[in-house]
Amino acid sequence: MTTINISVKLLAAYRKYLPPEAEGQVFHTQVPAGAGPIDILTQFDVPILNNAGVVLVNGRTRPQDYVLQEGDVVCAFPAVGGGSR
Amino acid sequence: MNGWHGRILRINLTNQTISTETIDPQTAKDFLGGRGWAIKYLTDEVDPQVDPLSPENKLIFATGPLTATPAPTGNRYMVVTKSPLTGALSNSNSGGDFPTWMKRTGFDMFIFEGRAERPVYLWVNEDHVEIRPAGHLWGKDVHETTDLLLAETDPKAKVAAIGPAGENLVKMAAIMNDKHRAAGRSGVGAVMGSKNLKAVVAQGKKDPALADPAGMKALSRTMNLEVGGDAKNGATMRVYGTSYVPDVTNELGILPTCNARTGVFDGADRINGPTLNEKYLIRPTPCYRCTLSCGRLTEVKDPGFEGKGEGPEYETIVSMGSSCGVDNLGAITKANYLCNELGMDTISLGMTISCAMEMVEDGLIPESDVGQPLRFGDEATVVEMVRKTACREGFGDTLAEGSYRLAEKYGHPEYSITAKKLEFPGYDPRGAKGMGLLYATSNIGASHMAGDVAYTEVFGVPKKTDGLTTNGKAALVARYTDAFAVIDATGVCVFVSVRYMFNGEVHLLPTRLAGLMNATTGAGYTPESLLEAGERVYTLERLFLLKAGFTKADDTLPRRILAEPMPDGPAKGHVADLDKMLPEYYQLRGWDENGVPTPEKLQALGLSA
Repeated sequence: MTTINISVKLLAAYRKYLPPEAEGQVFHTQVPAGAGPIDILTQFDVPILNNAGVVLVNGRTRPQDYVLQEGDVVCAFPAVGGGSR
Repeated sequence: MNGWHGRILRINLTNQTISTETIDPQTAKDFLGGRGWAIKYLTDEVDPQVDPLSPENKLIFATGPLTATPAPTGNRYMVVTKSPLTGALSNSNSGGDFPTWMKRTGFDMFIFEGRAERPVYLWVNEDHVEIRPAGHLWGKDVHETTDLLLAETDPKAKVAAIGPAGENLVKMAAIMNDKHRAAGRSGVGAVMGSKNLKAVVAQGKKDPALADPAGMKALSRTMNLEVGGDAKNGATMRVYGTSYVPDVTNELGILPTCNARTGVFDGADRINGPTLNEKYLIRPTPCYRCTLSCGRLTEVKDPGFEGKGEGPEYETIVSMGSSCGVDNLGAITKANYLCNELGMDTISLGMTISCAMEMVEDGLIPESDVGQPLRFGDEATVVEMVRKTACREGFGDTLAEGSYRLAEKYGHPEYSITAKKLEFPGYDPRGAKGMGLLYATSNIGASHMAGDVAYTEVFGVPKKTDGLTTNGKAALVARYTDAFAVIDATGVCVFVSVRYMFNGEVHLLPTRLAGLMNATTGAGYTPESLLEAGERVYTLERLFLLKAGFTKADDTLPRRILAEPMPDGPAKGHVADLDKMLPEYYQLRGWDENGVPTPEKLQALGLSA
């Protein structure tokens, strides 16, 4: 199985999900080829599902089926407010 | 009446007379309160072509029906007048304590007319209302003024005051309340100063009556538990306030940097929330009875920037930070403290300084006019320019006129990053295109709080939409501007109401807000009729602007934003694409191709002459 290198940035209240090896708000990791941003974020327990968080890749919103590329930067932050009540 | 007191205090500063009056109940209901009542009275009583700093302009303080009720964040008021900075309307909003105390005087609204011969302040202690001399306060900053006023009225009263900036008719002067809270934008402090009105002190125990106290208690409790519960779980707003936002906008490539030259700032992580918490934060602070607590009590001990107070929040971090190329958060915070003490809008002032910086750099303003170097990144000069602007000293006299008049004076108004002469907030429209449409069409000029579609384009609330597209943005801006008119009219805070009082869809519908309004006023609103009232308010404001001389030519953005593609970052290559949204906006609004509301639209809203 091939893996690719990506970076992950966790902002605001999501900082608490940063692993110990993170530098500031960013950590680098490897993911299997074919993985999407949601896969890696759920792996780190970041609660982004149901519009609770915003997920960007290289600063842009992506379709649900986006496949991560070598060097991509995934960024997630809480949808402050967010959700329906 | 319930919710509303239905009583208005009218203060004629020229004649030094005070009168009280009631409001027609149908008018009260149709225009909701707060910002809505204010534009109705301004329309009926003020010539839209009036000189904003003349005695003929009127300054209106307006609480809403939900102010001083148990509603979560029922603690806001509006300052409405014709703006000396823009010539358009001012709809300046503030929280803290003062608005609740003002409502508890037993009056919903104060209307200031004319001009006092000498400096005065107004002391309102329920029906005991006095115009008192303020000569001993004139020239003093907001903090000292507040302390002195509390000592000579009632230590438990609350104060709204101008600082030296308002006295000096600085065009971005603010009206501060409770020392650290600002009715900031559009130069409302200059209008107050032009009337020789230094301050308003409010005290009282007259909580508004409630139509359904039990229902109100239940609804409010449910929402407060949600807000407080989220806050306890380490929610971002409690932990960081809005200081977390530079990382977000920088990631999206829309963080205004060096006078909007670009949207990516390499100093973003030196001026962000974690840095503020690490270096300067003492604790979060709330407005009256709010459980969100987005306020920041901070202290800076860095040499040259020492101070203590509240802030900064996101907009100041941009205007005094990234827009000026400054990455020193201590300096930004000091600039913030000075703006609060001297009474000025951090957004307009910071953006005016960054405009001057770029023009100096491009050789369009001689350094001899400034009197010292003025370069992007020079944090000490930013702080010094804040001081100089408040007292109109040296180049501060030019800065005090705002970026548009500054840039125009030196022959290049296109350097001013404004709409209708109001300086941009912290979202570059080239990467948040709905915001561009909002800035271009809002009735006060470039304001995010006129209808903050950044909630969805940037923050993902309730869902994320793509800031780089224009599809559907006209409908979104129309809906948000109506919804925010409702929020500004009712007296609650945007931060809590958008999240907890609407229906959780991108196209906001004020579901629980209608519940709160009905439990309070008993006026039988539906979410749809509330929105319609918001549209009525917004449209009446538009009519005021048209009579003041604004045309569709003013529904525009700076040339840089329209025509210079973003040079870096995720929004690289994009421009504002206003032309792809504006015609549809006029159509959806029921306006003609010149942006004028049609007779049919006015009739439908009950606004026909």
